Amino acid sequence: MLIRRLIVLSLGLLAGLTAWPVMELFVRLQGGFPSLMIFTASSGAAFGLIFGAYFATAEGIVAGNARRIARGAATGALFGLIGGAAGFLLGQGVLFLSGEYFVRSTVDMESVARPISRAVGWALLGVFVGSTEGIRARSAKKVGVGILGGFVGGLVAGAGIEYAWLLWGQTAGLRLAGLLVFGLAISAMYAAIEKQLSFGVLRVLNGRRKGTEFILNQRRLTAGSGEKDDIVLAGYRGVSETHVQLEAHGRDMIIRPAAEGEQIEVNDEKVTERLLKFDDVLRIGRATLLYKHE
Amino acid sequence: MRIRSILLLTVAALLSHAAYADTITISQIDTSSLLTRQRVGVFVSAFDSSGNSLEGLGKEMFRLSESADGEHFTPVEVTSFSAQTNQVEGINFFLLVDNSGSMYDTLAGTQTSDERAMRITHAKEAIRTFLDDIDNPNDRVGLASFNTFYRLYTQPIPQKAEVGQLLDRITRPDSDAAYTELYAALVRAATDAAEVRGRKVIIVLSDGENYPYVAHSGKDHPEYGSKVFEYTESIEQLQRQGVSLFAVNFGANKDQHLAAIASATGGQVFDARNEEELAQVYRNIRERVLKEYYLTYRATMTPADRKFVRVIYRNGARSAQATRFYFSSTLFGSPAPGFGPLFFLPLLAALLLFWLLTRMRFLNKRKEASLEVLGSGSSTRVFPVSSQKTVIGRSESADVTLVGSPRVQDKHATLLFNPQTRVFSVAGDEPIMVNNKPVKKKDLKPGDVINVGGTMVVFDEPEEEGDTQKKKK
Repeated sequence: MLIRRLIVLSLGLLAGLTAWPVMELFVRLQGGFPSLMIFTASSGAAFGLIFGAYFATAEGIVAGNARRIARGAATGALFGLIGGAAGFLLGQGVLFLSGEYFVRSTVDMESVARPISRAVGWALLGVFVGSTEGIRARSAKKVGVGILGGFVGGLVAGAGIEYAWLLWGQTAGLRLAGLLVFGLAISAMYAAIEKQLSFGVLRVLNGRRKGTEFILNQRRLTAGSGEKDDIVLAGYRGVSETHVQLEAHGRDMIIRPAAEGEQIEVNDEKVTERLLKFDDVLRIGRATLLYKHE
Repeated sequence: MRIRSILLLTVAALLSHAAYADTITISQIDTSSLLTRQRVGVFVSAFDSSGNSLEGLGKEMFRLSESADGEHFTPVEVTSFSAQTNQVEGINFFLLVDNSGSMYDTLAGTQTSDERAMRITHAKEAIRTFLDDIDNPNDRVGLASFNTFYRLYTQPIPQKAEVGQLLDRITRPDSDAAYTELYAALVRAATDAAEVRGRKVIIVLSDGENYPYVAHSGKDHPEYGSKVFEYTESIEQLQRQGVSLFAVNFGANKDQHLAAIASATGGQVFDARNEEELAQVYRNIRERVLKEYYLTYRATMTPADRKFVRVIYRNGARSAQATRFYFSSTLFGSPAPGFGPLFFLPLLAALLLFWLLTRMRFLNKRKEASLEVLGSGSSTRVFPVSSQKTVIGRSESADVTLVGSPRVQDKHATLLFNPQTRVFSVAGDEPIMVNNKPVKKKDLKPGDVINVGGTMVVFDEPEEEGDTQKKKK
C-alpha cells in the first residue's frame, strides 16, 4: 500500500514538473493566439494531456508492466486532453465572471477577490483533470476520488499561487510551486481516499509479486496472468490468462471463475462463486492472496 | 418657491455651461462574451456642456483603443454600435443624505427647536416622495448618511418602502460627529454602490460644503486619521466604479467642487427642495441613462491582469475621452521574466524520473522459507525460518514473539520442517486457524495464512527451481 501511494504521489509531482515549462511557454505565447477561446482550449488540452498521461500509468507501474504503462499513458493523455480543454474553458469563464464581479465590488481585490477567483477557476480545472483518470478506467468511484482531489487541489493551489504572487510578485518559480501543489494535492487525495472508497485490498502472499497490494476500486475486475487483467499474476504456475472475475454488489465483493473449468480456492475450499469476507485466503493457481480491509 | 428653484436651476446650468465642455463616461464594461466570442462591450454616456445627454451620435464619432498597462494604447475597431440598450434594466439609485449639524437648522439657516422646520425633515419628506414616485419595479434604491462619519443603511434594494422606514434611523449627531466629510462620504458611497451590478447613480443631498474633521477640530479623525480627502479622490473613485454623481443642494451654501465632480462622472447639480423637483431629478437621471450608447470590439490578446479601454469621442471641434479597465487575468497569469530553454530542464528531469519509476520492479527475491507477520496498514515483519522447529507465541522464549493480542498463547503454534520430505507443517496444542479453518496439524503451502490470536502470519517458501520456466513452456 505504501509503495502504491508513493508511486501515485510521485506521479502527481512529476506531472506538475512536466507541465510547468509547457504552461510557461503557453503563457509566453498568449499574444500570438487568435482568440482567448483557442488559447484557453489549447493550453488546457496540453495541461490535461500531461496530467492525464501521468496518472493513468499508476496501475501499470504497480503491476510492473511496460505495455500497460504505455497504454495507460496514451489513453490517459487522450482523456486528459479533452478534460483539460473543457476544464480550462470553464475555469477561465468563471475566473472572468468572478473577477469582473469583484472588480466592481468593495471586496479587496488583491487579498480576497483574486485568490477566490483563481482558486475557483483552478478547482474547476482540477475537477476535470482529476476525473479523467476515473473516466478512462470507467470507474465511478475513481471519478469521485478525482473530482474531490482535483477540487481541493485546485482550490489550495489556486489560492496559494495568488497569495504567493501577492507576496513575491508574479514569477515563474511560484507558478512551478503552484503546479507541484496542484499535482501533489490531486495525487494525495487519490492516495488518501482511494482506500475509503474501495471494496478492499488483495495482498499477494507468495511468489515474485509477494507484498503487492491490488486495490479493488472498480465494480468489476479480473485477475490472471494476462496484462489486460486488473490484477496481474504473471509468473505463477496454474494461473491462466484471465482466471478470475471479481464483481461488487453493493458493498459486497463476489468472486467467480472467469471461464468454466478455472479453479479457485477460498480458505482451502474449491468454489465456483463466493461472497468474499475480509481475511479470506484466495488461491488462484499457485498464487495466494489475502482479501483485507486495508 | 418653485419659481425660485427653477431660477436656481437655470443659473446652475448657465454656470456649468461656462466652465465645462462635452464629456463622456464609460458606465460599464461588459465582458460576458470575452471568452466565447472575444468580444468586449462598452456602455458610454455622452453629455453636452450643460449636462444634457447627447442624442443621435453616430458610430463614426467614437474611437476605441485597448491597453495592457494603461499607457500604451492599441486602436481597435468598433464592431457594433447601438443606442438605447438600457431600456429594460433598472437603475440603482444610491441616496446619500447629509446629516451634519446644520441640517438641523431651518431652510433659511437659523437655529430652531421646531423639528418640522428643520432641513433634515424637509429632506426626508422629499426622499419619501421620491421613493413613491419611482414607477419602474427594476429600479433599486440604497441609503446612506454622512457627517463626520459615513453610515450605510442599505445597499440598493427593490423594496422602496423599506428604504422609507430606514430614513427614521437618521438621527441628530452630537457635536463631534456633526462635521461634513462630503468627499470622504462620496468615496465610501461609490465603493458601496459598486457592489451591485448594473447602472448606478449616487444622489447626494447636502446643505453645505466639505468641512473635514481634521482641518477644523484639530484632532485626528477616528477612522481616517490625519487624512483629508480631496474632491479629486471622489471623482477618481466614482469614475473607477462607473458611478455617476447627481447632487441636490439644500441650502444657500454650496460646495465649490460638487459641480465638477458631478460633471466629471456624467452627473449634474440641482437645486431642489420639494417633491416635484426631486421627481424631476429622477426623470432626468433615468432619461440620461436610457440614452447610453453601447459599443463592442474584439479584445486584443496581450496578456495582462487588467486591460484598459479608452473611448475617444470626436464631434466636429468637440471631443472628450474616457478610460476604464476590465478584469482579464487568465488561469495561469501573466508571463514571468527569464523564460528560456533552461526552463525545460525540469521537464527532462521529470521524464527521466518517470522512466526510472517504470523500470522499478517490486519483486520478491527471497530464497528461503519465511514467516511474515502482517501488522496494521502496510507494516510487516519477516522472520526467516531455518531451524526444524519454530515456535510462534506470546512467550519471550518463542522464536517469533507476538504480544499484540491477549488471545495469543505462550506457545500458540509450532512450525516444523521435515528434512526428508522437505515439507513444512504447522501444529498446535489446541486447534489453530490456517486459512480460516481450524486444524491440529497441517502441511503448509506457500502463502498459507496462520491466524495467531488475530495476527496474520503468512508462511512462504520459494517455489522449486524451474517453476516459472515450466510455466513458460
